[in-house]
Amino acid sequence: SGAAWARGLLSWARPERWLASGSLFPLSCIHTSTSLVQKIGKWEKKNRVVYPPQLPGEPRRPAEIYHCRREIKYSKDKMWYLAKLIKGMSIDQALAQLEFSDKKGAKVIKEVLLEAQEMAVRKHNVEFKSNLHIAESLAGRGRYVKRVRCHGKGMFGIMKISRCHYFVKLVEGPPPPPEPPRTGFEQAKEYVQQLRNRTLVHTL
Amino acid sequence: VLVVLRSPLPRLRALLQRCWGQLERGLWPGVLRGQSSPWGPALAVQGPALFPQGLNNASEGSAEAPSLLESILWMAAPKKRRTIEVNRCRRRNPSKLIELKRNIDVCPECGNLKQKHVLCGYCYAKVKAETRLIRMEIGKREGGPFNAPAVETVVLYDGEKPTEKDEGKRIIERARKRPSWFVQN
Repeated sequence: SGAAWARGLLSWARPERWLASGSLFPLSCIHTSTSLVQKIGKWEKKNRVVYPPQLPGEPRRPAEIYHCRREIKYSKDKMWYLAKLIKGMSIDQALAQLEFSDKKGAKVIKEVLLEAQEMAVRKHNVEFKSNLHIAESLAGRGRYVKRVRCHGKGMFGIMKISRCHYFVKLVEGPPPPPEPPRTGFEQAKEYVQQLRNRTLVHTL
Repeated sequence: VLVVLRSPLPRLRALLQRCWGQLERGLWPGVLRGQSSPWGPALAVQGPALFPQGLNNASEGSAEAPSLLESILWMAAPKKRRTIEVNRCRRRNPSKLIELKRNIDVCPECGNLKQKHVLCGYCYAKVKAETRLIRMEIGKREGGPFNAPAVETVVLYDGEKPTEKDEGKRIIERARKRPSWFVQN
């Protein structure tokens, strides 16, 4: 087997084989530099995580789908309001709210959610497309471009054309129940507990 | 084409320098110092009003000059930079967040979502498309603008005959089955 391995190695190292084929390294396209291809962002890489198979007794791990859209022509502050609206809703409710929102970003987010839903059903082994809820939804800053804005009397200002990214994480299962608001009684209890936790420091 | 763009900063700076120079030279004694001018009387005693016109001119003059240039120095301006915490409190206040809409229902005809007080978008688009085709048929019949007859129009689909009620009316044929939402008569 050692001899066969050495023979295989030598056969790979033969230079005539390289000149015969059209390209020198047929597998080099996987490892090209990132000058031509866009850098793959961290959010896109989160979909490539592979967990080890679950043991028979463990509870089923819910499927997580990460999706994003980059360089949307919209302001990140305005996009944040829509992302905040959607956080924690089921996907059907989120789509309903976005369909009747008058904002420009609502149309973009709706497309992103539909894409993510389709991805979930096709690739991520999700059984029911309605059984998804939005665990995280964020808006980030994209690349800004500075331009000149002309005012009267020969004055000018510099305006920045802003773009944003939108990230969403869908998790299988019904949405978690909303947290009950903190009552005054709870806050008082916490305060008393803090007072009781006080101890003497730097003593015996 | 050469475009001369002057930034606003040197203009404002020149103006401020001029104002400051004037102040230092003592042309506006009343602005900074609360005391009377150096060449005014050290002791003032109330006497008879000898020059009432002069007094009026002085008061008018002193009121006119400051109002033109001083107002620029007394414009409202922020004293301190607003911290991000303060900015966040203002931007994330519940009154500024988008409200949840509770008036969304399901259309009984097509099953799409619709707002309660608005027509269903899908059904409206369907009706609009069919109306456009009917109008094109009418256009072909009329042949040009301003040729509309003074009678009613009736649209008949495949396999429909005009009834007694449609005696004097103009009939438009459409080569398809009658849609379920277009009720006859």
